[in-house]
Amino acid sequence: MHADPNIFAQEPPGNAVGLAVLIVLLIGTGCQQNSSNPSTDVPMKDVSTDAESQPAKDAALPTTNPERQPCPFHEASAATGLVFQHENGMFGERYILEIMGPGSALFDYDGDGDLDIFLVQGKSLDPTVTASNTASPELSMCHRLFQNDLTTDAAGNPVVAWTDVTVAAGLIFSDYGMGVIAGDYNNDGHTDLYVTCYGQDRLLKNTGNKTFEDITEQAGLLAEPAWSTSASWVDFDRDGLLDLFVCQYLEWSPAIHVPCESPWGGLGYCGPKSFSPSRSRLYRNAGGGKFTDVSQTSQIAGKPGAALGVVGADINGDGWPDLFVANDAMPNHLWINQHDGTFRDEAMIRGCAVNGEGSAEGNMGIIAADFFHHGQIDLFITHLKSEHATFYQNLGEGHFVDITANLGLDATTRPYTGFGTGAIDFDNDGASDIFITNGGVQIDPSQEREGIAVPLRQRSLLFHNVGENQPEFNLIQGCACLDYEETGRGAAFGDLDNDGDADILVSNNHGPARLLLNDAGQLRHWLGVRLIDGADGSEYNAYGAVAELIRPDQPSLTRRCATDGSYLSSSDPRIIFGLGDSRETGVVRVRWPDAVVEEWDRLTCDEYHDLRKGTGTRRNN
Amino acid sequence: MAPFNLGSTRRRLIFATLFAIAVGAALVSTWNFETGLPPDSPARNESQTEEIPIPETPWGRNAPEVQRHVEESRKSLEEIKTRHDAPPIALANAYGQLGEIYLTYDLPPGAIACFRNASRLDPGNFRWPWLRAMAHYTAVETADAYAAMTEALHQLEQDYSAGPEHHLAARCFLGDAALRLNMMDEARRHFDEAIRLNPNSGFAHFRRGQLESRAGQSELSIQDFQDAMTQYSASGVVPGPVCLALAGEYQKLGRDADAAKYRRLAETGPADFVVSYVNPLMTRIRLLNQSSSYLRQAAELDVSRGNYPEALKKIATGLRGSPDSLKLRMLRVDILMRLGRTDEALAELGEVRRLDVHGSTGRAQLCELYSRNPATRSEALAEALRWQSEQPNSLRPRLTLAAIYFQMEQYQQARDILTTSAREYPQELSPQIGLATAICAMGDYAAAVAVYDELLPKFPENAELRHNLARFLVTCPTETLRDPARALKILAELIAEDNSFDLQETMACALADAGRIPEALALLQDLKSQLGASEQFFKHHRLADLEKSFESGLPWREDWPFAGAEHSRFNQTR
Repeated sequence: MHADPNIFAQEPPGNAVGLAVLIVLLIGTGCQQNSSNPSTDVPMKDVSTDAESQPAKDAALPTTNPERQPCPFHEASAATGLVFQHENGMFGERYILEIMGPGSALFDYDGDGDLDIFLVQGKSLDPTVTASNTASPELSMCHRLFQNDLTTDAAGNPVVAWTDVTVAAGLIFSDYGMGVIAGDYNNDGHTDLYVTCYGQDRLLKNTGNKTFEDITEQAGLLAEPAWSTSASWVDFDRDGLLDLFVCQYLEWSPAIHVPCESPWGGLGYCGPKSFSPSRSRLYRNAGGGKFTDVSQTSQIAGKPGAALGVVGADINGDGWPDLFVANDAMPNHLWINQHDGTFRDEAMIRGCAVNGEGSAEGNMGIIAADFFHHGQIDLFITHLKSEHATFYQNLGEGHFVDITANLGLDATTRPYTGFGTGAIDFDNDGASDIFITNGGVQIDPSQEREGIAVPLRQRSLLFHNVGENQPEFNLIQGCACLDYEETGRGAAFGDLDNDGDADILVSNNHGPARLLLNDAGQLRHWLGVRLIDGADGSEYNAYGAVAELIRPDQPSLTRRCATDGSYLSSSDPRIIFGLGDSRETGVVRVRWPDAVVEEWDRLTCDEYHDLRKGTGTRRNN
Repeated sequence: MAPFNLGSTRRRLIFATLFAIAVGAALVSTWNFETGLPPDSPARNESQTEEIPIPETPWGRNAPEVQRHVEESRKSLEEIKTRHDAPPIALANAYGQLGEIYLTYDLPPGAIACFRNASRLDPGNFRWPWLRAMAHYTAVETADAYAAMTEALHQLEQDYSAGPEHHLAARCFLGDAALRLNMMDEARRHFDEAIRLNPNSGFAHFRRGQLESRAGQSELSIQDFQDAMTQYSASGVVPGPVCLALAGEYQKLGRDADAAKYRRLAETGPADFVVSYVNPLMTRIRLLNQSSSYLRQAAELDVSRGNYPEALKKIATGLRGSPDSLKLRMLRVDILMRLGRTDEALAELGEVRRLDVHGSTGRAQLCELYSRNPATRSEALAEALRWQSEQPNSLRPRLTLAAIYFQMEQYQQARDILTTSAREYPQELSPQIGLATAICAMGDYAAAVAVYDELLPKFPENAELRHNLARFLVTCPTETLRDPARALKILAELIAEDNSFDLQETMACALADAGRIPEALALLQDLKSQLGASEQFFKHHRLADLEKSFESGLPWREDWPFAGAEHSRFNQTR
């Protein structure tokens, strides 16, 4: 750093990502669940059945105790009518932009009690195509909204079916979309959407009559066009209104694009270090549908960072929401809430800026969940291939230690580049499991030679947590719809068929959306809760509230009511507690965002309950 | 030939050799048992006698220089193979050399096949399984890497050419890989041995401390972390990860004050400290890389060390393989500009613009070079105006245009552009600093100080801003605005974080302005001794000018921060 009289803008420092290239020969068969693949370019492959196509040997290490059990999920996108193909806009220039999206949202847009799906779309980056499409975008080039027409069959089993309601909902927008986050910014009981874009983001107000209205400008959210990625609705000042944090990635535009060499010297995709990192944005909800940009005054804009993931949660246990931001190829930021509208980055001293060896990694997707039954938020971050996903255990009050290798998550995650990730108890045994969707960022020459348009495909990973009081992860193997390779990016989690277990929606880059329906969780007992605040007629999800299930002789389970985390995606804010083989529901203790604590007991298992603030038994904080 | 005599020295030697071989075989068996690897692990499959075919590399669309490098080496191998009188060791070396080239380009399948063949022909050489371990590691095949390094470890224990650094690195590698593979007992064994070999191994102590932490042995863990701390601190570095690991253990024990102490200490260390160890065989492998991306990175390192001739050599090599590499060419431009070789820089920029007609690469630099020479400033202005009209919403063309107006001393135009830019890009510091500079240039120094004071709370951690303010406070021509005490305080804080040349130079100015001329001169002498012969020529000039001024008993004055020799309206009169 030095003072320099020269205020000429400098070229960004050149530094192509030097990734090792794993040669993966992929010759597969179709996934048994996917008889009608919407994309001819993206056939679903079951590499687990092909000896020549082992993606990485570490995936089969004896130390990981791979479980060969019936697959807990089946892929059901096309079968249920969810047909969507993401367009990354590529036209030969290999822009870094084209390989970073998209995400999706699982949210109940029509208030009918089941989750609907919003899928983020890109658009062509070829200037000539973009120009012709701007005025009247085709539906295929728009974000899409699918309504869940959930029914039951004769045997009483839920049946999911999707209807594309994009046009009816007034969502004909053509953006270069990246991600989306759902939240009720005006507490009217209708879930709104904030769509992050390369360019101008959009705030889409849910009118309550199955339509949306773009209120970006009137809400004061028009900003200098930039590259937004993940976002979080978080009431950082605890005034009862959701504020908005928006990750900003890089200072990039086609005009400053510089061709980057692949590790072998040919044309590849640039890494984040080829461009300047951006400064993320924080908007305070001033009420009346207006937002104020407080990025500067809150200190958030004081530190640039190539931000890809964010979680707004009380990390240090002081009752105020903090912000954990995953930065690509840079130290993470942990913005600790100072209770006065400002934040201070304490990631370095709290042990979650870099991994345990001191390396700043390619941080992407985030899980913020309690894996140790200690009521504290642990962090799990997905990373580049040849790095490993990193698990930071919260030792208390938001001080972390990297224990990745201790949990068997090091060698098993190193062969993959992870993006979307979530803590779901897929088998409802009470322990949070981990799902990761993977996809490379450097071209796989073998896939390129096969003519695959985006040769970045990798399989997904599902780790089963078999630990009692502390996590212990086994990799699930031999499951076709997890083993098939696509360019995974976003992953959203929620109970789409209301059967009491978490399903998964994976958003693939330049590929189809994949719906993984859970077949395992409903075989165990469970307890579902929706945490609700607000008066009759305008009840809304109490984002930021925390529910704890307390049972005798069992470790307590703590879950957040939130939609953020993962990567570019928005998940179901409802909470599912897996009860295993027990019907005992114990006591559910809820800590509301304003620190009020209430308890409920004698809730019946295997169903959802609406827990309204003020209706429980009040407890001292 | 003498009859075989059990009593002869020669026979005793033969017997000893046979005995050693037998013991060695027993050791092999024991070792594999100790690794706990499955029976079909690669470590047991090295007895193949058949040549292992080298897999074809899927070159993708563009990898001409790498492909050429590999094929040349492969041709050498094929030539040796046709020579029937070539000893196996020569063929092993040829395979090894080809494997190293595959390895340097991150092409592990080819490297693994080559090193397997080298081991087949030269079975006692620890280098081949060692390098195969590195290839497996590159391929993210940690279990195979562990097995191969186990084999290497066994062989290097019988190889007197191996030094203690090889033994230590092998143990560190194996311990690390075992830890990643969740093989905690094996990891512990390797780190114990590494520490026995070298009790000063910070890496081994740190990793063993992590194992002990996992086992709940906090006291042992703390001891190992403290040992790691001692080793790394001995080289003058505060190892952040070790501090945080210690803090974590103390927190587990409820010793919150100790935990807090180490967290505070972690904050004082360099952010990029990584706990690592030296791998003696990989240092040379990396130097084989002739890809443009690697050469560019190596050249950038040379530039950071001020070794411009070496950087230019690497760039020339890289451009032979990748003549279209804009990044290599722009790095060359940067170096040529630093060296004042303007004509060559302009020629290179012409090539860059030809290769990137529709992009912006090199435009700012092209404008800057044109604007340096009064004869070509009109061309600079024309180019910048054209660029701005093409990208009206982009900040870079605007800043470039403002800089050209500066060079042309058209400060009002520069100020107008920067005022607009500062308003439209409130989060960007460059237009704001530029605006303050423009205000200075127009002589309104009080307004400039106001701008700086307004910016400081908005960008409290920005070192460039603080440095500019400090510089201004001790070089400003208006006496009432100078404040050497404040500047010295700011500079002391900045230098504590980054003891750079420019900061020290400003410190010399501050000392002089505070009347401490002898100290300022001493600091200048120190700075001069730090400058290498190939360093930026203008730094030499600037120091000479400062020295001249201080020797005359006069502090340094500038129209705006770092106006220096190029704009020394005030100093020239002295």
